[in-house]
Amino acid sequence: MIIQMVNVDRIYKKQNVVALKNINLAIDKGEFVFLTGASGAGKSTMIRLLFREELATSGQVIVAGRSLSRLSSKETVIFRRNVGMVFQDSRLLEDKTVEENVAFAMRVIERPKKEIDKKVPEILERVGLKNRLKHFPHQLSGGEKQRVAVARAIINDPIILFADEPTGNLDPDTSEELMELLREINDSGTTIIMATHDRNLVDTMQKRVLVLEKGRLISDRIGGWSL
Amino acid sequence: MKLESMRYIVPDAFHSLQRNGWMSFAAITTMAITLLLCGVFGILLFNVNYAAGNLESDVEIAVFLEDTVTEEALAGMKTTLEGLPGVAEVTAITKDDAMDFMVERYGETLFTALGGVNPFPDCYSVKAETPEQIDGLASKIATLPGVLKVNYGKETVDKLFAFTDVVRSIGLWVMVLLAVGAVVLVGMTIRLTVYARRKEVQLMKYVGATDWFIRWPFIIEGALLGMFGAIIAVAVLFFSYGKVADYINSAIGFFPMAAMSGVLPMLSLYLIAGGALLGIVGSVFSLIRFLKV
Repeated sequence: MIIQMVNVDRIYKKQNVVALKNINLAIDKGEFVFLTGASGAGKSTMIRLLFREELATSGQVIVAGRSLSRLSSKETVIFRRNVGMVFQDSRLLEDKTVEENVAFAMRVIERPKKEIDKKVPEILERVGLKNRLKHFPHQLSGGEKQRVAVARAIINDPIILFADEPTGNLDPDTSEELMELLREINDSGTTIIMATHDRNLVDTMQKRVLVLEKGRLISDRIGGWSL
Repeated sequence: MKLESMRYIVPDAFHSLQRNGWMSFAAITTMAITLLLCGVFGILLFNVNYAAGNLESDVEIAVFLEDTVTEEALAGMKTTLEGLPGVAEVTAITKDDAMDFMVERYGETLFTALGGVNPFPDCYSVKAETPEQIDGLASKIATLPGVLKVNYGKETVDKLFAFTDVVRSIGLWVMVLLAVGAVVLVGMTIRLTVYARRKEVQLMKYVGATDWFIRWPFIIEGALLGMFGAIIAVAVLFFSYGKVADYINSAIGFFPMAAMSGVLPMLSLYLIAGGALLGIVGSVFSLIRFLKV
């Protein structure tokens, strides 16, 4: 099991909101898992817990055998270096080229320049953007931006890739292309957890689906979206 | 943090300075004024110590005589002085001798400045055997009849130090206030950078950068602001030292100023280091408040 959640609650005390309640799940290495549900069901919250952007109010979130709440600052840094994250709005740096945006992920963890110079073009070719190295984000389409975001997320060979509504801003065709890329990445061994409310995608992919409703896990099965 | 990362961090810091425009300018200018003042005081104190060093080792006592002293009394005075214990040599200097000497050393401008009148009294130059004996000798000579005044190095030194003590007390407060202002301005400039780079900082955290890797660029930017201010201060000091020395020599004359090469290089290093330190302090305060890592 690469991910485990045991009796996890996430409560925002100030706003008096129960975002997640009594979540129990286990995910194996190499799985592709969809987190689905209506808006506000708790999908993004769950991703944030798994990524350790927030801590669970109670219960345990265990990733790669380590309880996330017990990680020191140093261990959190190492954890982050082993997971990747793709956001709905890609979050590229506007004043940097495609190449620089992807290299950023290696530069800030101080990988050697030689390694960066070798890996960045390779990964951009893998995501189908080898002709866009010197372009700036404003010169790219939505789909291309997300591919750059994916490239940045996987360049450090993460064991898990988290994606929070990565196709949220894309049209259906572009979404499918992106999903194809994610499927390839999953096939090469990376565990993928993807939050989405795109029913069609989920139905097409036929992977494991976790359904959230008002903070509770109401369904955990393989197949399409069904409520 | 690896040295290789500096190749990105230092240019990024320069880029930030540029982007912050007027804010950077304000911080650098205030820093320059603060450090210039520090430099001026540093030079003043150095020169006072230098002059003191010269004067203290001076074993000569100038004995100025009253105008009413007769020729006979004058001759007798020399014998009396030579007879005092601890006296090595006594030389008579008439008022004309004194005038010629000063004009030769400090130029005709001195004579013109004095309105063409010879203000110097007749005097004796008494050389003591050792510097330690000067105090006692001077006190004794001062009590002799016909003696107007006794001047010697230590007295001048005491006056000099009294002067600089006052200047130092006032100056210190002014410097502290200015330094606080400079630090605050640096802090505000860094805050702008933190805000401008918040997306990048957030991304760095997501990707697994260490807290210090995130902090360093801001700290270096603060240090750069301080150092640029220091460089301006140093440049002003270098340009003006010679001119000020000339002015002092023509206006006052007898104040021996240390050579530029003796004081400025070391002072410059201190100022640049001080500037960097103040800049870093300003940056750190800002980071503690505004950078959430």
